[in-house]
Amino acid sequence: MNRKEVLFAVVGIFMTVIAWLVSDLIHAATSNQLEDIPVVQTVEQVTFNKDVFNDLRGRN
Amino acid sequence: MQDTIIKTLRRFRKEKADYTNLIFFFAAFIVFIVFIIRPSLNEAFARAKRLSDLQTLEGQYEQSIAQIINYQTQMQDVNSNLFLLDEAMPRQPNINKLLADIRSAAASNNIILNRTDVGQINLVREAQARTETNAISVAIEAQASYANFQAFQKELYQQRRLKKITTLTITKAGGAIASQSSGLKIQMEIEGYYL
Repeated sequence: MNRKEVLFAVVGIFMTVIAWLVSDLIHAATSNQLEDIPVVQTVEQVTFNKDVFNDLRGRN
Repeated sequence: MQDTIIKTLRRFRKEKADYTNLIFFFAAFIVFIVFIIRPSLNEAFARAKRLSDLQTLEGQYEQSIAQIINYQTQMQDVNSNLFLLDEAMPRQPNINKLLADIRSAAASNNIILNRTDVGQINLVREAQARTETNAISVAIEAQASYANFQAFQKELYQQRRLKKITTLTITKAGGAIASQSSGLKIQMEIEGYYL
């Protein structure tokens, strides 16, 4: 293996490492980083119909 | 000729030296990327994403807290009126109140109650059954004019305790030859609700 071939091999490895670096960064930028923090529990929508109270208040 | 050979050899040596430099450069850069650049950049990107996620989460928490405060305010308004719901649909059958309501409506509208039967009530209930609406059935046999019966029905539905007339049969009180004054024979079943 002459030096030119070694150079091609090293450049190939270099490109692979760059690709690995980019994919690693994309993964770090898109993956969920809040696994240890509890997710907000959504509160159920509650509505009070005040007409019912007004209607009941008018009854005896 | 000798000069040409020497020049070629020098150029060849120079090229070899350049390759060596390039090889070492790439090798060193690979090591640099793997052990220094990648961890630092990775940490920076992860922290930026974490910050963004935390800001989103903070917004959700704030929204949730605002919603809870809103419900608390509404509950304070509603709390003073909750007794109305309890009277409209009590937790216990409260048969005496139901019968009192029926008798009161009958008395105020000149309805003669000939018979009152209360249906079966299951007093032993499991806690989970209390989420469903239960009904007590009261069968009534009465005598009244049609106008009085209409007033009785209206008053019954105007009462706070929720009730429903499920069955109703109206016949002439004295058979086919009955006069206007003898009124109507009314048979009905009233359901009163509780939790």
